[in-house]
Amino acid sequence: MTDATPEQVGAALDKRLARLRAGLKRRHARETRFKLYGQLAIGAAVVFLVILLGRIVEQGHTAFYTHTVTVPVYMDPAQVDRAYPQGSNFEQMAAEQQLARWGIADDARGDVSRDMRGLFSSELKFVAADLVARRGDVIGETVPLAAPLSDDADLYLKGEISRDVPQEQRRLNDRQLAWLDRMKAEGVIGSHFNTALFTNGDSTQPEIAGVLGAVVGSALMLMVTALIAIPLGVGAAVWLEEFAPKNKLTDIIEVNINNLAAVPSIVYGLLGLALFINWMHLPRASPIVGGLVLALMALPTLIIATRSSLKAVPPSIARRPWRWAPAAPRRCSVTSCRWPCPAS
Amino acid sequence: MIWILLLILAALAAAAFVGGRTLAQGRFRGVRAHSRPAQHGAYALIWVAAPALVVLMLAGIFAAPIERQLTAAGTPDAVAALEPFRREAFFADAHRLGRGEPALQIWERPLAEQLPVEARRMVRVERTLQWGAAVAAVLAAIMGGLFAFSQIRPNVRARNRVEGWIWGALFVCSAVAVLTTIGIIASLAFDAFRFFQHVPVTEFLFGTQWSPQIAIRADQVGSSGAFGAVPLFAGTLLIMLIAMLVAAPIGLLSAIYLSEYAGRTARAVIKPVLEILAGVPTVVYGFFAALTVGPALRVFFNEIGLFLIGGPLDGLGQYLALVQNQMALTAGAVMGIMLIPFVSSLSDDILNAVPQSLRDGSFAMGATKSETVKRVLLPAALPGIAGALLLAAVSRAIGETMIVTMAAGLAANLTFNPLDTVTTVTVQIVTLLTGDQEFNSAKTLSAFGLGLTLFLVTLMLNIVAQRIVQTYREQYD
Repeated sequence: MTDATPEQVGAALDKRLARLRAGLKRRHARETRFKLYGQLAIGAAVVFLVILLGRIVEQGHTAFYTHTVTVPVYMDPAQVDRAYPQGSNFEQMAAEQQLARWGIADDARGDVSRDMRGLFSSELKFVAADLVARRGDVIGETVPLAAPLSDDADLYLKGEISRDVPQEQRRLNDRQLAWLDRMKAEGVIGSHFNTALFTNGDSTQPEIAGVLGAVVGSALMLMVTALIAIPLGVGAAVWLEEFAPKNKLTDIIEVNINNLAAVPSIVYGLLGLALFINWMHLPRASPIVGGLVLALMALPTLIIATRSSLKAVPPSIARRPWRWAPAAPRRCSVTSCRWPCPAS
Repeated sequence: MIWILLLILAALAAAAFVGGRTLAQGRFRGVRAHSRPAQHGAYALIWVAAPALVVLMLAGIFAAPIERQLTAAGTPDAVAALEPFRREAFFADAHRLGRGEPALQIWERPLAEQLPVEARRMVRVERTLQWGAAVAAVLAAIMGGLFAFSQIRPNVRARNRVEGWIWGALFVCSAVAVLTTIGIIASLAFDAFRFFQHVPVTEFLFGTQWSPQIAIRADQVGSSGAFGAVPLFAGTLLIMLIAMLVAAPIGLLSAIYLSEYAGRTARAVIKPVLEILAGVPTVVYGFFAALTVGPALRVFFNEIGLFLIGGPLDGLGQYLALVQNQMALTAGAVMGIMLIPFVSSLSDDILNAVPQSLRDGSFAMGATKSETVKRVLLPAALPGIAGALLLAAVSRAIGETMIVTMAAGLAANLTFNPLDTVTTVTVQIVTLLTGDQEFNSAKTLSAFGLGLTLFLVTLMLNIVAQRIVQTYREQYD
């Protein structure tokens, strides 16, 4: 038993309090830091998302507009055959005539006109041939032809090809860039919305390539998938929720569905290759094969999602038929109570 | 043809329903019957539709093999003497000719004369099979209908039988899932077995050389092909580890913030934003990796390398200056970004499942929120979170195909350096199987060996993870 003076006690208490305060400060600092980590993590995820979407928009938006050049072409009767317009080299004709209008002489090897020709899309040939085939009277006349610019010229006008890059490292040489600038100044190049992107199929020429073929293919495949997966998936979910007896077999099916949901998509691809193409000899790359495989792949996810929606229907609604009519078939519970319920 | 047949069958089924109902109404007049007439109608409808559909389904599955057998049986000698792939091409051309399309190839003398003959024969076989299937389907429908009509008696429990049929149909829907698994195992195992006849299992699992290109001529360089898959497993593991290093901390911390700190409004905004990351198609991530992340990382490391060259770390600088776009880091980092929402939403679910009483107890002892999280919640939730990470993230990372196909390399290097290019199991399967290929070379079959390994590994991971989550859930139930 020591006799502490009130001063001593007060000093000890103060010391203790100071230690506690320091500890509390440290703990609160830790608390703030931990909260900051959480905010940083979310911030990082959001930044990734913004960069991802931003880059896609930044890189993709120029695809939605394109440039068309309109050049007058004299349909030389010596070079254009009414009966076989596809045989004429309209691009060369247009290039040479364009050079002649500007008073630029071609060299012996034809390099100059080849450079000029490189500015036009090969689509020009089909536009011209189509015109000749429809109207033979244009032969011997000068007609304005509108066709897309070549992909390189289009990229230059969109600012993707820079003059700062040395000539050897870019797709267009100085001469071609000067011509493009001159055409632009003369007003023969127009820029407009790229409707071809949505009305054309794929092509090796970027300037006339479109997504229509791919969109139609995806739609067909999705249709097959939906037609197969939705009835099967909903049926399986209803069976598991409403009808399934509690036994080993049901357990196996349930475990199996959960496992299938985690099987990598490429394994389903191998299944489709071995089963549908190699064994059943269904046509390769057809919507039916793709749709079948996608249906098998979507099935487990569909079953799990449908089951959780069915579970969400309150038992007071789902079991009502039994209260009204205990002998009613179980099917009635599904058809008249679960489906109409907004939760399912 | 098939549509007309389906229309006929639909008409038959409708007729059976109406006929069954009227018949029952007539027979049950004045009698106390177990089931209502409409239920007998439904019973008749099922007995018309079901047998016909079964016949059609069987025809769809077995028509192609039977047709192949029949055409192979009558093959003329000149065609039978061809090499297998030329014979396939010949039959394909005969098929095209039979459908009225021009042949793809020009065939030499004896074959050119055989082609139209074979085409006519194939059309005949195909027609016969189609008509056979159609007649069988209609016969099955009629016989089913007659049986159902014979069952229209007051004491027959049509309602229960209809219920039984519906039970059966729904059960078949569920059984499709099991059949899919069996199909996956059977097809993978069958072709993998053929592969392991060429290449011993031990060489495949433990060999360290992977170069599946088998030369067409025997004397070409590298004609043997090497099928040691260890570099692929190592590459897959490396990219998966990088992805988890990105996804696990970010996902887990954001889940903790969302479930413990964020208010109602912040949650309502942040959660959907994170879900957008999960909704982006993997091919877009692949594009992003190949065109943005890869070049950016390469420039970054090249700059560091150029800075270091000539200094004390000259060797490292030389290496960094030559780093390529397709390094493992690119694919791993982008895959990690893809996995953030999965990790975060799974961890969020599990954190929310921890009982509130644990939190309240901790707060009552004066613990701060972060102390509660670190000392109470994480120890309680960690097994579940580990299971969730295994379940969703790891098996997803291992099986992810599009990102690595676009952003990872093709060279099978056995390395754990994240700046080297590596290749993965899925990339190799894609490269082995895109384009035309024949099904009897070890090169093509090796894809099935890889696929089987991938399937078994993800299956095991999944079973383990589900068990973890299960035991963990039971603790709090």
